[in-house]
Amino acid sequence: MSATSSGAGLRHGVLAVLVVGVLGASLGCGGAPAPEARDTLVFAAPADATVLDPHNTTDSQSDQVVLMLFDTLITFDQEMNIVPDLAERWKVAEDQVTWTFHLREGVTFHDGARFDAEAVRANFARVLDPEQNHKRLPLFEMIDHVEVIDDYTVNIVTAYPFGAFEPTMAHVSAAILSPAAAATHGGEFGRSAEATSGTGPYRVVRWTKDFEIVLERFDDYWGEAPPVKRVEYRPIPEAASRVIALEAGDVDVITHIPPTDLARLEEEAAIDVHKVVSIGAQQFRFNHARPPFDDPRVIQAISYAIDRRAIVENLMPGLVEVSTGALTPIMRGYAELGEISQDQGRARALLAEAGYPDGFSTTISTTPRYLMGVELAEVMAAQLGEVGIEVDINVLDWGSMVAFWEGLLPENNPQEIFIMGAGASTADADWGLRPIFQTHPTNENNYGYYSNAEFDRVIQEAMRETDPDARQELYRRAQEIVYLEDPGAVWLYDNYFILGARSGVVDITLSPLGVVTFERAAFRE
Amino acid sequence: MLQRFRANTAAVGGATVIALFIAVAVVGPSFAPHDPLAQDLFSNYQSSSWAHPLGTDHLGRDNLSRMIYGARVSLTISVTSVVFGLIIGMAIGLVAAYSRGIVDVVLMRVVDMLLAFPDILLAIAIIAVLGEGIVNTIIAVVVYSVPQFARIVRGAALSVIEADFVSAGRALGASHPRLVLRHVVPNCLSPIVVHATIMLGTAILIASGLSFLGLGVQPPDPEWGAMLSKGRELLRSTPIAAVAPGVAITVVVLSFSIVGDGLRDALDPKLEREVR
Amino acid sequence: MTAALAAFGRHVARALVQVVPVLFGISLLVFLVVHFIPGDPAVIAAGLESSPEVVERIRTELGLDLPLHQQFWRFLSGAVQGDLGESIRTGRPVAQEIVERFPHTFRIALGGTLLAALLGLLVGVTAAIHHNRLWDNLIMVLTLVAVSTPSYWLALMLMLLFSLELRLLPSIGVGTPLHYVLPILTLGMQSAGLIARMTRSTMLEVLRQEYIRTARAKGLVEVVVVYKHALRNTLIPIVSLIGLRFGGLLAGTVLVESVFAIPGMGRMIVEAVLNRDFPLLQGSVLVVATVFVLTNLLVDLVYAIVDPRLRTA
Repeated sequence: MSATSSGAGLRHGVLAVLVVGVLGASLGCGGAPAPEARDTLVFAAPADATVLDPHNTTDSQSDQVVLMLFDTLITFDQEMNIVPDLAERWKVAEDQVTWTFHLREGVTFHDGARFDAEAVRANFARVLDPEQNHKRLPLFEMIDHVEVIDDYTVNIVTAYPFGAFEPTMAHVSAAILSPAAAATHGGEFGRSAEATSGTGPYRVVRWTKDFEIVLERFDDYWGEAPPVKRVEYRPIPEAASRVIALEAGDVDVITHIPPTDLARLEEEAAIDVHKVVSIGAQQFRFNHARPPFDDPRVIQAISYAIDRRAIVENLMPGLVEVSTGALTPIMRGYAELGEISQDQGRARALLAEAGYPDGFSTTISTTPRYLMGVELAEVMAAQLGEVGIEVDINVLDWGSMVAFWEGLLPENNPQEIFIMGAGASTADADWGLRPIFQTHPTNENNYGYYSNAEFDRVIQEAMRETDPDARQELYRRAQEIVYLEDPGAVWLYDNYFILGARSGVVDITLSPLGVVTFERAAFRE
Repeated sequence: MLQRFRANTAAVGGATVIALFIAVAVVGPSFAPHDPLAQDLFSNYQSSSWAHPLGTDHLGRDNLSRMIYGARVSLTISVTSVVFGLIIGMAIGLVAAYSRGIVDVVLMRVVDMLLAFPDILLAIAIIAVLGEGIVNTIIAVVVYSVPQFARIVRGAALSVIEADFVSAGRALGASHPRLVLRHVVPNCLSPIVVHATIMLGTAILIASGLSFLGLGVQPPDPEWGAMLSKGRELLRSTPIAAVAPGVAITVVVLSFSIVGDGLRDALDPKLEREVR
Repeated sequence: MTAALAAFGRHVARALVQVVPVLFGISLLVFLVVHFIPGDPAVIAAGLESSPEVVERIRTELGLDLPLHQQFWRFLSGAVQGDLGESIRTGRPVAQEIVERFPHTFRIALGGTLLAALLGLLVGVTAAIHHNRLWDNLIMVLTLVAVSTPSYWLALMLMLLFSLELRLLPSIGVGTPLHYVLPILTLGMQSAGLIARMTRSTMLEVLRQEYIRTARAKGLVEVVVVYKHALRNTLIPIVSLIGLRFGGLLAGTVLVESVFAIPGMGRMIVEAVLNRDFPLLQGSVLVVATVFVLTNLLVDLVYAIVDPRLRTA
């Protein structure tokens, strides 16, 4: 700008002042005062919570906030053992259907109401009421009724002996909310900071959608007071920004670190990387109602055609482990059946046996919602190509993908091979196998119309078995069928749940359920 | 006219670069160092080397070869969609500006409707209804760009139509299409050319945005937009892989706009008077 | 003078009347588009571990089992009364969701547009004055780089530099004015490139016109010639472009908002598409489109002020 005279310069000056003025006015003056740094922990996940109502949450971003605000009668520790929480002790009667819980006394909800047996009854009445339409109703369908014995004793009676009762009661959706608050807010419960009330170590003080959830220590908490006063949840959808924000110290803890950044963060002195084996596994499933996927040998052939080690070690280094069974090792009822190694000769032989010596053409549907979802399909396509199966890839957005999983009849479902991230939120074999692989006319939950008579029989028997050893044997058999003999999916790998933290932050609780909580977290001096 | 274009060395340079890109798109694949679809998981995420000058991607595929193959798809998307968007948009804009009155009002309000619609939703809707693939990506970009061209052309044409020489032509009894083509179009070329050249790049960026949502060209076919979108994951580990498609897009846009400017100068009737 | 004012008033009134059918058209279009996209909002709302009974109840609750025309009527009559329904995903009123997000988007859109207009005009005029010389060529290359650089790259680069290396600015969020600097820079650079190109080219055109030569011949100072006479006559396409860009930015830019974790309209709309959150999608598109239409109406009025001849039509 050599040609400007003073006149033009002045005009630009005026404009610049105008711009600054308008911007200043529009941005508002002064920022939020920075709170005492060591008092507040900032956590960044890829997305905001959807709802803070335990009876309605179906995503882990909501679950992990709910776990900070609410308690369950019994809960999982970090090794997935079941331990007391709001119930001090519990037992099942001879009939195998009556579960008696002796409750902790002196517990109050965030709204000041008292926690007692009636609160427990009211909670299960709420989630089981079909009129109120809570999303977690199916999880508790085995409950017949709940009886209040006295102020601090309650019986939960199931309709039939239910082997997975304890893990189901430890599920986040079995958390107890304040019946008074639920009555006041009705369908609005858990949808704003004001309409949320539990017995947990923290309470919500502010929730600005997609920006932040602010939790503060609950002073009347019944247990040990958490060391950190405030916890702020800041969703950062873009993985690269999440990593930069952690490195710059703008946030203290992040989850969902991309594979290309993991190794670097592990090297960085200011950052600690923590991981646990999770309940999540990555699979490709099949439409078993459509040939050639009605023939187990074809699925087995596909399974042998894939080089899982190459995928795990190169595409997802440090993030996952090769699958060794139909469930992940941390889950109740898991049976180790071993890795399936690539064996192209065997794959071709099985294809020939099934009547496809020259292979066939098919389509893999995938969605970028899953980490490396598209790349995994590309690898599958290339490796299946080597044994003669020609694959087209169909990439769908999440909404279009889910449309194929809504209880369609086989004749209305054109999908052939499709990606699937599995992870049963009770961390138990029943929820991890029964809804997914039990015979059903439509594909609600059993997305690929898997059907195996022996599997159906074993899984029903296992569901009603309460003896741990007998139960384990039945689930082993069920997994042998669905993982090896008549495969219901191709299992690729089990996910680690990984987080990165500033190295001053200690005692973060990572759960295999893929959620992180901070009730014990502290800043190390 | 051709002579004037030739005299413009920058424009000739730009045209040469475009010719080079087209050559790469047409015959390049036979010179690509590797098969763009060949995966080698054990040598993925590599930085540049003699074997892979632009490194390798998530699946160990050679980025240079994918760029070369991708040129065909990306240039097709970008040039085709701009040509169609320009023709349709210009027709609408000219008709609106020239007829004024109710026709103008109706056309421009329809254009407003389309412009007001968030572009990403429009693109998703088109792809969701028509399905994925190169042709439908082009359609999505055309639908996105037509209202923009229409509005810009109308704006430019309005001021030209009011100019004296058009009124003079009208007074002399020149026919309408003749007036528009002979006088109005040449005199509003410059904003059109500018916008068109920029749209060439924008088209690839839109394709990139669509593939960010998983709606672009179907994998494993290489395409610059998809490489660009995927490349942001590699920005800090193998920057060369992340930057290459961006640089290619910039060079294409740069060359097209140099040529566009040269073309405009060569076609501009006013400039002719000046050179005289 | 009064006659001119009356004509201007009529122009405004007529423009306002035209807004109504446009908004109706947009409502219809958004409704159709939303219902055309494959995918069932009830299924997505219910979650993957849910049962068909839950899905069915949600569908009834949302009114998705009604015939299409009834659904459209519900949407339209609600919207006219300011009731945009409730988001399927969060269960909160759509209007409230929009009220919370729009200010963030508005700030970066306004900031980005002002920065772009200022920078673009300055740079574009400079280039035009120095036509075909070093300055011009340099600016030309830089503007094209700005235009064809993907916004999320620029955003990440700025963040790496200013937040991680220099530790000058916060990386993410919207807490203080400082938080808006990087997003505004990111959005502004791209639009500035476009506006600079447009300014340069229309300016070149005008500088060749007779009256400019006359002005020069009269011995007027070059700066006066350029900024008073020439720039004024290049404004129509430039204002048009600025209006378009601003309107476009008001719909939010999902990539920039994602990178800087800004709770804005762009992210909300894309999330609503991916989750098939029909009420949220319909409501936010309607609001964004209305603002866009009003912005362009304003641009039209600016035309009328800049060039009074355009009023009479």
